[in-house]
Amino acid sequence: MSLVNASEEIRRIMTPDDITTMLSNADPGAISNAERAALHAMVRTTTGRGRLRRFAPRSAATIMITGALIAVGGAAAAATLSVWHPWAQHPDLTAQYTMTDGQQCEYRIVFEPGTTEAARTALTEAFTNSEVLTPAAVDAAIAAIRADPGAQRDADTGEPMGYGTAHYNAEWEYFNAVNAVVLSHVSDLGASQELATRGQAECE
Amino acid sequence: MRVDREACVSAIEATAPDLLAYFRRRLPKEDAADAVGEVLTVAWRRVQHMPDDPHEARLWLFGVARNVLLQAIRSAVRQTELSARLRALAVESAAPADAGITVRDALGRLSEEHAEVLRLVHWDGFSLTDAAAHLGLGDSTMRSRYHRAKASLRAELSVHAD
Repeated sequence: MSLVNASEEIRRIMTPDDITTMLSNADPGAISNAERAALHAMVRTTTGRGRLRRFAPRSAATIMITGALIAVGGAAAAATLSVWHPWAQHPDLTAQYTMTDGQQCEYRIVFEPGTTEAARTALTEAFTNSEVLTPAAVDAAIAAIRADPGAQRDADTGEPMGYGTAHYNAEWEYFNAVNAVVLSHVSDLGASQELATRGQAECE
Repeated sequence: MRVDREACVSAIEATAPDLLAYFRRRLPKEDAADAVGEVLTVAWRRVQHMPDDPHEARLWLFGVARNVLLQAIRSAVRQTELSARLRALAVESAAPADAGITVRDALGRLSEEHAEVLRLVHWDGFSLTDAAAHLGLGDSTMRSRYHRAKASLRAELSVHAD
């Protein structure tokens, strides 16, 4: 079909008719002024001065962060953002850490039903034992991750995020390396199959 | 890549009401607010991919919204504190029964691909070209699908008017 004919066809089929009118009158998408105001605040909360990034994909049941990066306790850097999921309001484990670009992050872990006492103990130890998450261990984990560029994938699109790919993200890689070290420790203790957690990380 | 934060915020602010309407047309009203919250979070995480052109940015945000919608359909939308206020307003402003319910019911009886084309064009304000891009279709495919969708809706309405 030529461009001229296509344009004519579009004009013809888009001409207002009975269906157009009926659909217009049936639109359930009306937004009130109060909702517009709430949306405005919502957008500013998300995209405002406090940069917000979520590092825990919805599919991550066993993401953790730990060790030498963590200063447990103290002021919660991201607590004022009011972005925590309801299940993350009362975490079992909390960590504050600094990403490679200097962003302050808070990571909250919640144990889900199914986590055994042994698994809780193993994870808690991984969080608190400074010999678990050493720089050397993280470097080794990064090397292992880079050996498989397809290992890191975007939680939303499934696109590869590994080293050398278009969507490579050094912070995300570091985050995954830390998780890998912790999971390895928990696995060494024989508890990885008994671990069920949810995690949410927020940075600003 | 350098990100113009204010331009991104402006693009998101300009599109946010339309995103809420988009979800309200496709999800239970109280879930729409949470879906918008998810779009904002995802959009900001991937903001380096947001096009500079306002129209392209709007289409990009709707692309994010479509992914969130598909995810929401597969699993319950997560409730967040971020969207709590908006969710409460949605419940307060629940629409009364209206004449449009007949048309919406008829739309609901169409195939999803026909219904979605009509929602995009007549409710979300997409041109046929933009709707084609949004759904990953060619322009000619979109035109024929739109033709068939309107005919199907007209037939549904006629059947129930008899």
